[in-house]
Amino acid sequence: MTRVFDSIVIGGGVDGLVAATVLARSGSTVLLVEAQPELGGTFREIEFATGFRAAPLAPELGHVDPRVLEATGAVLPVAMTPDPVVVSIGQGEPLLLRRSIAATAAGLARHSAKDAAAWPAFSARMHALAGFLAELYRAAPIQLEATGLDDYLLLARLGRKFRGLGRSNMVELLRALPMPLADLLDDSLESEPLKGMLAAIGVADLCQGPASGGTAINFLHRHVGAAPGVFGDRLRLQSGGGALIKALVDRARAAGVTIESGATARKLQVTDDRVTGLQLASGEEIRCRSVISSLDPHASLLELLDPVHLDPEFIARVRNIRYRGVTSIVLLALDGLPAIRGHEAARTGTILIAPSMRYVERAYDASKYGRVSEEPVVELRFPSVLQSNLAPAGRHIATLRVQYTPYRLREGDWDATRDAVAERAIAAVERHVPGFSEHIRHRAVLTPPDLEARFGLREGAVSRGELALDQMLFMRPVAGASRYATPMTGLFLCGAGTHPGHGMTGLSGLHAAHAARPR
Amino acid sequence: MGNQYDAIVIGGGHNGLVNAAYLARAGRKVVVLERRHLLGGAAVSEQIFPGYTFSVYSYVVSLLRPEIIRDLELPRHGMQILPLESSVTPLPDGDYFAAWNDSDLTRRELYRHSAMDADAYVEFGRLMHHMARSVKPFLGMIPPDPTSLAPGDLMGLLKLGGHLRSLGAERFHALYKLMTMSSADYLDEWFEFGALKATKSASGIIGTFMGPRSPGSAYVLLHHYMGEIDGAFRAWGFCKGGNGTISNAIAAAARAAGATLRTEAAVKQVLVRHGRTTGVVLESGEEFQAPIVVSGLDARRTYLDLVESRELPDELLEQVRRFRFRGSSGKVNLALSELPDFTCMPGVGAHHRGAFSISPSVEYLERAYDDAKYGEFSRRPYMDIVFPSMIDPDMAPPGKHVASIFVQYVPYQINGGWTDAKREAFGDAVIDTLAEYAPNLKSAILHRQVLTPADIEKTTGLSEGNIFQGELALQQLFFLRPAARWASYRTPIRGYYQCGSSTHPGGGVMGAPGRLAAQRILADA
Amino acid sequence: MPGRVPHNLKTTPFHARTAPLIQGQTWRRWSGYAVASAYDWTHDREYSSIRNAAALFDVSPLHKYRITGRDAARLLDRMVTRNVLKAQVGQVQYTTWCDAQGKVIDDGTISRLKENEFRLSSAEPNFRWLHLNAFGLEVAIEDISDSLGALALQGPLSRTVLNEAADQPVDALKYFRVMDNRIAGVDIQVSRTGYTGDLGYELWIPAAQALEVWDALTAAGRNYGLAPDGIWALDVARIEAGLVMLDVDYHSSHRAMIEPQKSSPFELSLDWTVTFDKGPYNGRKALAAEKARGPLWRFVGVEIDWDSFESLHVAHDLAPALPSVPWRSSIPLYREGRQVGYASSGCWSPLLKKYLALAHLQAPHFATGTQLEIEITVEHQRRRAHARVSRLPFYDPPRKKA
Repeated sequence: MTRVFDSIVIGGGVDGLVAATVLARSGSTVLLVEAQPELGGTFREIEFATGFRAAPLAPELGHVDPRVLEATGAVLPVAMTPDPVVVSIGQGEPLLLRRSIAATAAGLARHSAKDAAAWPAFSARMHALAGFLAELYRAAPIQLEATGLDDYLLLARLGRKFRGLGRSNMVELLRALPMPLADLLDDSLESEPLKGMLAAIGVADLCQGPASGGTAINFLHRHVGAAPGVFGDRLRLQSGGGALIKALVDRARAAGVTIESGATARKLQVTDDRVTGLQLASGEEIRCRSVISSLDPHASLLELLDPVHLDPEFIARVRNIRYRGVTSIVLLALDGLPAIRGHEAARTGTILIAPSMRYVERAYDASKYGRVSEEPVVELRFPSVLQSNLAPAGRHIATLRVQYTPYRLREGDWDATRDAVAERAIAAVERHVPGFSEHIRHRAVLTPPDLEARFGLREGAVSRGELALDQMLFMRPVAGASRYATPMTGLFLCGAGTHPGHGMTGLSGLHAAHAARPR
Repeated sequence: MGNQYDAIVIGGGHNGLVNAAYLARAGRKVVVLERRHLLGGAAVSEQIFPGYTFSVYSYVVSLLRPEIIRDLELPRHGMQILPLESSVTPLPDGDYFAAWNDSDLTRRELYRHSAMDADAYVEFGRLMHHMARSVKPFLGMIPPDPTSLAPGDLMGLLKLGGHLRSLGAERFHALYKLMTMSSADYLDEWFEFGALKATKSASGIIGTFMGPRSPGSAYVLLHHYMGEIDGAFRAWGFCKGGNGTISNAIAAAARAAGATLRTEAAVKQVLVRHGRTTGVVLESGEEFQAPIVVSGLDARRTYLDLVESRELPDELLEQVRRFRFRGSSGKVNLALSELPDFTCMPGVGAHHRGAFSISPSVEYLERAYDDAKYGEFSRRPYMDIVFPSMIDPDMAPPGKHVASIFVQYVPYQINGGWTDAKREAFGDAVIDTLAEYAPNLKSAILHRQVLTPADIEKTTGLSEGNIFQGELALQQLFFLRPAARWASYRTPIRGYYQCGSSTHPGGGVMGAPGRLAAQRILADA
Repeated sequence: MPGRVPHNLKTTPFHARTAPLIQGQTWRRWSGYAVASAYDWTHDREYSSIRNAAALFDVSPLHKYRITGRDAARLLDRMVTRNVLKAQVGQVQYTTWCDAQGKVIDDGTISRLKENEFRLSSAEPNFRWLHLNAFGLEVAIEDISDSLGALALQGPLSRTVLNEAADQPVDALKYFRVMDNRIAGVDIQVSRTGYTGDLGYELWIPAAQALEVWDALTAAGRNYGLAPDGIWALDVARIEAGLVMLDVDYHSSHRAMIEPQKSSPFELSLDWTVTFDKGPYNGRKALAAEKARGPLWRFVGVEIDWDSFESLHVAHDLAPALPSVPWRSSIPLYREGRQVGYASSGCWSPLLKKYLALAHLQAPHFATGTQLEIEITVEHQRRRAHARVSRLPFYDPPRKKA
């Protein structure tokens, strides 16, 4: 007996769950298939040593737009707000990014009186600019060929919002879009530790250094949904990303979504130029009217679909999407917490090693030539401090986000390089947190190829398509498929690879569901 | 009152001269005041060594607006553009990559390196042609300010919006990619042969402080195709007598229209009374009166050096202070006893009538950039080399030659500051690198002149030696060039205008800012 | 690797034989090669050899690709408008291929040499396009343009000449079929194809042994009036046969500068090359829509009315002046004073004694028999001569397929 659904959603991450729930709530019968045994996608926790668990890719959960919660009926689990948010170490006194603008400015005074004075205005401006991006992300991207009433209403809304920025911020926004982050920071700030910290946050997961054009937009993108003056942290939940997944799964089930994990999508079935079903790896063929894939665009369009159905020019566009993962994650099982020179509170937030813009830039240089940074940018966190179930009692875990470690190495292979990444990252921490390495009892390293294999991230790119101006908005994932529909009738895309991209938790699922909803 | 004029143009560079010529043709009594002993700014020809004439700074021409050539009748005033026939990129393995002035020969050459690229090259050229046509309306208009609600700006924006929509989705997306991507990534989508990508992307980094992998470097690729669509000349050309001849032709046109041209007349200050300009005073103390003063100098000099800052709004001063110059290129001019004999293409031949590009791979360019990023000159720089004496025999004594070598990257801000020793070390790096491809070079050198950005600044007055009067980066273009609200050639001081490459559409020996500024001035009158 | 500066166009594998024959040095470009417009000072004798005896053309500048591998048939089938999966081994198909908008990129022939081996010949380079189409398929694409020479042996006596020269008789070789054969000890392939609309063959010859084959053929043809032919003679023959030529009669959609410069197969009157009885292929959707709607243009033959043509000359006291060589330019066509299309090539047909043109006409002006006017220049003045839409081909001898 062939099973029949209105829609099949591929991928049980946040966007897939949101898309499935929204479709089911609008009356469709929906099947959600997830290849892994567990749901959660990039928010998934893994056990990397007996008794030690970590969610390597979800130190923070990005921006959850209220619309996502409203559309699914989910309630956000209890959040937490570590303060300081980021402690940057490595050059002189640690630099603290606090939740309060005044508190950050007060701390900055020790580094630069000018920056302390400039901080409130800088924070306000960045917040205003990111606010406009948030507005852009609230709907499917506007298209050049827009003709419908909805399009004009959206355009009018964006126009009003743009005008609302005021003349000076309007200029700043247009100016910032193509700019190097280094220039944006240099315009307002002078202290290297501060600029290094913000630069590292701004180029996170990007195969670019802060001196590259177009990096300012990534910095602003990562600020969407954060409070003014807070960078590098948006949503963190007391019980981790799993709590958000659980809340969404509950809502999906309540809406009637059939959820099957351990079910790998293999091939889309096409009849008369439209999607009519999905074949699973098990061989089962399920009929449906539409498929919403939260896999990356390459997998959705070129692997699930027989390429002969697509225009070769379109295929070329999809193949040209840049992924370029540069991030490795080192997971450490600790027998205790290291002391951090009088900043014990830092252990709840993020400890960052990026003492100057030049440091970040030099770390990037290596990746241009297919090498791993000698002195990488490292983000260190101790998730078990707040979420005690990640480690056995009295023990802790540490996660190190290490950049730059390019997916493609010029020389050698990743099996021979994996340990070097861990050692360089740990050495960098040890330099500034003496005694740190003595606590390590076990370690696991997830390099870009590992992230690809374990989390399905093409080229290990957490972004599922580098966030650059030419791969954003109406160009994400590619021109001609940016509004979730694809050239193949009945196939829709969602996930971080689509607008609005990585960190805009659940929004693409919501937009895709609207695009896929039968009219 | 011998010094009473309708308009004073500060700076006798090509834009100042174009501006003066247009104003004079409209019947204005104009004087151009040039600090140096010769006109032309960075477009000058000088006999640096007796018998050897050099286009000391800018050395090729492609973008000079054809309407200026026609309006000012420049050929009648002595300007003659000769074609550069080819471009050859010698490769480290002894091979080369060449583009000839014949599409069949170029295809055959490319095919030798990559059959795919040979096919792609034609389609790429077609797309660039379309892209160049798509941006042409932007270049020819006074930029509207998208943050303004003034009717003129709104009309301009509407016009632009209409133009973009008329491109259709496919071309609009292509243009958008070109405007936002790095040249390396953009070319990766088209080609696989490294030297082709490097040689093309080199044009995207000229005069900027970016590497070919930095987003924002792709759109300059277009410049190579701009000249062609205007039908004025194909691709890059060389001006007979050097680029000074262009300046002299424009000067002659200005003079013929009644303009007065004064050299060795350095302007010290622009006089302002009650928010309105009344003239200028020279370093010598001499005063000139006019209700219109036009600055052909860069934005920094126009706003920070020539006028009191209290005459200007803070918001503008802040924008000008952060307008980025960061000169990144230098020049080496050589007098030669014989032509360099390139290992990859032995002997003297047609290839010496074209350009040589030292750009074997994108990575080579990127490494050259890395040196500069951390405050050093490129140990192995990108170079664009022409032998003007092969095109115009008058440039050197019979049998002898001159070489013009454009070099990047060489930062204005070099670690420890520029010294004579450092300049020579830079010159040596250039010669050493080039000699690897043409071993007879060193023994052929009779004289050499090395120019760093600091030297360029000192002689021409270009801030930080930036050849475009400010980086040609997207955030410094169009309505942001040089500053939002003040991209329409006007300044906050009534009667004071700007017409240099710091204004839209920017640098290169294009003349467009000078012409557009003249249009603005005449319309305001 | 260090090389000299290339100053010359490429030469074909037959250059050593053809070069000494070109009396008027009428060299011209064809795909980067230097080829002959005519060997004699005029092309008259060369043309008559096509229709009267046998003609030998050097068509080596055609682009040729060898496509092999498990998905070779699928690659071509997803790319072109005809059904390649149905082709038998030994079959040759003439086809067009389109972009996603159903506009023609190129036209050419596909020979199925083995189950998983094909040869594509085309007017423009298609290496990159083949690769773009091959994504996800298991195929190898080899550009054999330079390693494979090609000769077209055309004319009523071509079979006789070929039988004399080749090891295997070609009598059984049917129209649009290909066979292995051997000439002068050289392994070659012979296809019953051509660009003249006459009985004829094309020979596919390894470049290294091209001259041996040329010599054997010309020796065999000596008693049968075999003549080497240039492009002018070929042009006359293909206009008589109503065969469309890329870059002359239409532009590749990959090269066209604007939309109106592109053509669909329907607009080129190549409907028979478009099938919907197959799987997905480039342009299918657009072509289906166009078929339902009906094409806006058609490619037709136009006969210029002799009396009208003559009288325009007589008015100036001149005898009618015919073009000395076939022309390839755009000439406006009018109907009742309004321009309704343009001719893209034309010639005097020595065989039919008619002034012919190939033309693009807008709907609904393309019906056979429609009366038109064509612009001609007489004594520096633009005039319009009467003309009539004619069925293509103008000339179609039974021997072509027999």
